[in-house]
Amino acid sequence: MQYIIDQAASEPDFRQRLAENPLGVARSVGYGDGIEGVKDLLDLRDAQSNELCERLHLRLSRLYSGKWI
Amino acid sequence: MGKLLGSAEARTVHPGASDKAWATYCSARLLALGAPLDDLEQAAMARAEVSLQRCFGFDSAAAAYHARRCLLFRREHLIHESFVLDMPVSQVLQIIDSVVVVGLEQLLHVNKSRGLLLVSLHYSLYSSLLWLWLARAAARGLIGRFTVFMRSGYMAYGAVSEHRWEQAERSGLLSRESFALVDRTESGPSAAARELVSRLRRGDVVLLFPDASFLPQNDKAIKLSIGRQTVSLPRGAAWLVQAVQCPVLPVYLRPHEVDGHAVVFGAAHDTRAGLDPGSVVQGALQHLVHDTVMADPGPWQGWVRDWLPQ
Repeated sequence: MQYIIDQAASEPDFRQRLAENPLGVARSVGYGDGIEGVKDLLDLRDAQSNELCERLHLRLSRLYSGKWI
Repeated sequence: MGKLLGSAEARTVHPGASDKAWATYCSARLLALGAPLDDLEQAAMARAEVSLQRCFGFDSAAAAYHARRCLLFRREHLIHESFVLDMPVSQVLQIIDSVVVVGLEQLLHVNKSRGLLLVSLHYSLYSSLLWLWLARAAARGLIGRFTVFMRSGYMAYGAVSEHRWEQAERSGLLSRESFALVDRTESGPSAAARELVSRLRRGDVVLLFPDASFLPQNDKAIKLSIGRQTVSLPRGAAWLVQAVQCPVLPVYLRPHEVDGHAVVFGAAHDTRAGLDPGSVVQGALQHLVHDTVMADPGPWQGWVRDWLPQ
């Protein structure tokens, strides 16, 4: 996963692809097998591609209430 | 810089984790990286860039790269916190059991009758995987009773339901007979400190994170060098060592191979070597900084805070 982080940090094109089509990127880099499991885990079975990312991000944002440690 | 994985075959196989659970785990982690940075994250990234430039002398491009990595590693941290709170406990257990251990002999060689203070940094997945690995180690008898010191309000561990604690105990993830949280927010700083002293004196292992807050520069603080800059930390850990005369062991979690993590123990620092408690804690923390922040700055959460003098 750290390779993905490095690539997302260094390559704007990859970052854009990840933002626009996260499920496609997940499948292309070998992390697509668990997408249905993620939908089940988060109870987001109807979510599509970047909507899944956005709702996941919203869910994570609510964990920390704006605090940074 | 890393390279993009070309195929699923490049992924690490983790014994003990079912294929389906591990696939879900990895997919969720990748999807957590997908959303563009929000306003809070953009502001944090700007702070991180400034701090990285001042500490390491990076040019703006290198500082931006590491600052963005810092924010992405923070996403990694958050998705793992979400797993701890929401994922089936059996799958959390599989993730914990996939963690590799480095320097275990450093932990096992410590005199178990004296109490042991573990110190770590807000680095990588500092909270969930690290303390859960230690709680599992205590449940399995690898270490004595284990206590983690934290401030709730950031993550809602205090709100974990009794049902989930029971599930965690039934699965063997932890045992509340050998593991406890001491919450500064709930207990107050004085009562929490007394509780930690009591536990260390009876021989427990206590984990705390001295870089949870930074202080203005002052002579009494613990000073850490971060590249060209110095950061001041509260003396709470040194106060504990003064009270208990226990050894201090640095420990941290870092990324390991493709998708995994490693718990790394450093060498013990001890007042019996003739050092005062402040120097013992400072030595352990500086060791941590050397092995973590200096080796790979991105995963340190300290960058996103506003702590350097103008």
